[in-house]
Amino acid sequence: MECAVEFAGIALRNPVLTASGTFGYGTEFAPFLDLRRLGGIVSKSVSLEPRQGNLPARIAETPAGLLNAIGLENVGVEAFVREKLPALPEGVPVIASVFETQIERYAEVCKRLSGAGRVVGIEINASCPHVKAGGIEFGQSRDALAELVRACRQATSLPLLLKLSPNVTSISEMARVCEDEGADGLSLINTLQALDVDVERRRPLLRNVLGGLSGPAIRPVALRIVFQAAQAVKIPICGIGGIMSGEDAVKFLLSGATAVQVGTANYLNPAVAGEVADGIRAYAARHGFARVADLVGALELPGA
Amino acid sequence: MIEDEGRQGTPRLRISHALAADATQIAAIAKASLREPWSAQAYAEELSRGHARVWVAREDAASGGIVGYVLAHRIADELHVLSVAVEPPRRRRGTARALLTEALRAEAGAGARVAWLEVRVGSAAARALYQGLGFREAMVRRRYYADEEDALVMTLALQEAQIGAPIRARAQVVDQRREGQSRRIVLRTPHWPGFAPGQFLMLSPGPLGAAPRLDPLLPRPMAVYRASPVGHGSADVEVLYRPTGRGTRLLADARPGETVGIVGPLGRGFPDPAAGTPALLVGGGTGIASLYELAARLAPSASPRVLLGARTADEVMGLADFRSLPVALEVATEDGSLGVRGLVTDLLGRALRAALPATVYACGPTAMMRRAAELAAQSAQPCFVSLENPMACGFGVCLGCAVPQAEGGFRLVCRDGPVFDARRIAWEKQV
Ligand SMILES: Cc1cc2nc3c(=O)[nH]c(=O)nc-3n(C[C@H](O)[C@H](O)[C@H](O)COP(=O)(O)OP(=O)(O)OC[C@H]3O[C@@H](n4cnc5c(N)ncnc54)[C@H](O)[C@@H]3O)c2cc1C
Ligand SMILES: Cc1cc2nc3c(=O)[nH]c(=O)nc-3n(C[C@H](O)[C@H](O)[C@H](O)COP(=O)(O)O)c2cc1C
Ligand code: FES
Repeated sequence: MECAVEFAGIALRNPVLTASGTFGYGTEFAPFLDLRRLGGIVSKSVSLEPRQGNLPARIAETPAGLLNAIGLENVGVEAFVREKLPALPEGVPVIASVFETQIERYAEVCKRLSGAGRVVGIEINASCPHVKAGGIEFGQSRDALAELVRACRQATSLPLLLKLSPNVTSISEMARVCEDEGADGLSLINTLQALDVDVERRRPLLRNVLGGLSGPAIRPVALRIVFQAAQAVKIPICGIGGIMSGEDAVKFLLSGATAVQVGTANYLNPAVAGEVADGIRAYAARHGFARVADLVGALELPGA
Repeated sequence: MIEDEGRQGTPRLRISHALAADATQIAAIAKASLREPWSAQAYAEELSRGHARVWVAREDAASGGIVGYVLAHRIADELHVLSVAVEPPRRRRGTARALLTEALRAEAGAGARVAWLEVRVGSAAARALYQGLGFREAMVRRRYYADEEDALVMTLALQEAQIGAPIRARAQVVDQRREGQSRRIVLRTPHWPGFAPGQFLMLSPGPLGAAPRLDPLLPRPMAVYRASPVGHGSADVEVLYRPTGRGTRLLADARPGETVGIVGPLGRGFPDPAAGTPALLVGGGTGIASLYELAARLAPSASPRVLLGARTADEVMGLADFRSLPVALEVATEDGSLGVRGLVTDLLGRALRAALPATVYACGPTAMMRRAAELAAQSAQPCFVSLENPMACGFGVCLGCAVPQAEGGFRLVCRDGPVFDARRIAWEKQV
């Protein structure tokens, strides 16, 4: 069975990556999982300077889901390049995730990562508040997104992925903006904005009030978004949202994703990403596909 | 519910540092096991040396006899294992392996990088034991022993071998029983790496892997209450908990024979008490479970005082176990149904007024730990708390369990704790 795929110019051993913010800096998983079983790792989003996160409570469990408002705590790009990257075993492709609050700073982080040897691609987390545009997410404004992609494209020649906010009216429109500005691929989706309430205490569960929802609860929404984006653009898509098993991952491939990322499931079972890769292979074999890549977009739609 | 063999037949074993008073029993075991044993006096002298590291396996029964020991020297970053022996009638139960595992785990945690030992080339069983722990043959010392047998030198790189690293396993429920308001679940866990008091597990009721449980989604953090070796590197790991929410109620449904997913042991445990100071353990509610192993390991040497508190008598976890330890035990209940009526922190206030110095260890509801921290600070005594913040992963990747620090910034309860120096926590911001 041929499991290797090419995603946005990056050669992957298999289509399973780990999602930013759910896999630490990678080494935390070494006791549980041979990292070389993965297609690759998307590292925790880093910013120009180290950043502290929000006050607790930062997480809460919801039905089949997890609500979080971590606050993008990270060690900063310098410590990431100096300490975190070299600690990862050879042979594990690393896609570095970037977030910032201003376009110039996004571009600067891209530049610093581009010289850092181990990084095979950059994922721009565009679901962050845009300071100059009054705190709305980059990914929610067509113009801000276009400007962001353009600046990052100029800052790096590495494969450039855009991780878009799902909290938009038309994902197709945002996807086309990225394609037009030179992005090599899309990562869909980031967490869905959400709220949950402690009824007894009449308070939001999270200190930050609103949080991002992840886990199996969001999977059908994520599938819909991947499906729509795949119809709108030619650049490849990495499907993310509630993947717990090989079958879940296959749903994303069938809906048009070339690769997938496993997120929240890593917390429940730190070896799950390897199991998802095995599950995809087993599915492809069981259904007579010669290559895992042949599953991409193989969804059979009802006739008109 | 079934009784496991560990309960019915033979008493449970507990591994702890040897005391000076243990030299006679150690010598007796050596005599029965080794071809070149030392005298009791030689062991007594050995125990007083700064570089000697000696652990013993005791039976958990009231009689508490020693059934095996491991003796090693720690020099710089090397651990030289000199002898391991188990009483002949107690062999074949994995005691030697459990003793070595604890020695390697503790010393790797304290910075040792290499462990090495000599073994008789003709000792197939001993060589297999060391190989099973990851030791590799390095060289031969010709005619090393008095009877001219060759010795094989075996070495183990402790950092690479990830000694004491957490495991992920499906543990089989071998017993689950109700004790007052709480439950005691016994999980037979393969490849158990040993644990330090205060470490915890992430428990997922229901099978791991192929058919993941979606709701409730997250595993639940639970202290390792105690663990007893059952042979072949497995251990019966006990957890005490109270079914309150969805996850713990699901756990309460697990029947003997079913499996529970575990990841652990995780976190850093309790530090030793300051030299020569008695330990004062304060447990409230389910926090009591985090303190039992600490009490048991300190009991032979540090004569700890244990204060337990709960709302009513049947909420005091593990009471019978604490009563069987040689510790000074006091209980407070809010309704006065057992011990003193009132809060466990009232007992702590009294204890701190009566006897100083003391190293305070506290685990329980946040308000209780905060009060314990205040009381310890007022009498200028060190206080360590074990926090119980909600967790998603348990091993430092989700950043969900951050606890605000007094000096600013955050630390992670799962990775940097759950045990913290109480003075370093910004209590007013803690959940
Ligand atoms: C390191 C550590 C060790 C622990 N050891 C033990 C132990 O040995 N025995 C024991 O009974 N309990 C222990 N706990 C607490 C235990 O994890 C929680 O009580 C448990 O997760 C609640 O799960 P649930 O499904 O019953 O409740 P849920 O349905 O999830 O929630 C019920 C209530 O408990 C609160 N809650 C949820 N998760 C936690 C949490 N992790 N900590 C505190 N409150 C929570 C919720 O906010 C809610 O109010 C420990 C916690 C930690 C962090
Ligand atoms: C605790 C937590 C932290 C996250 N941090 C980041 C982050 O730093 N950058 C990012 O792009 N996405 C982050 N995400 C979003 C995930 O990468 C992923 O897009 C989302 O969780 C959906 O996938 P899942 O349902 O498999 O978790 C985070 C998610 C969680 C739960
Ligand atoms: S529980 Fe995930 S970082 Fe501590």
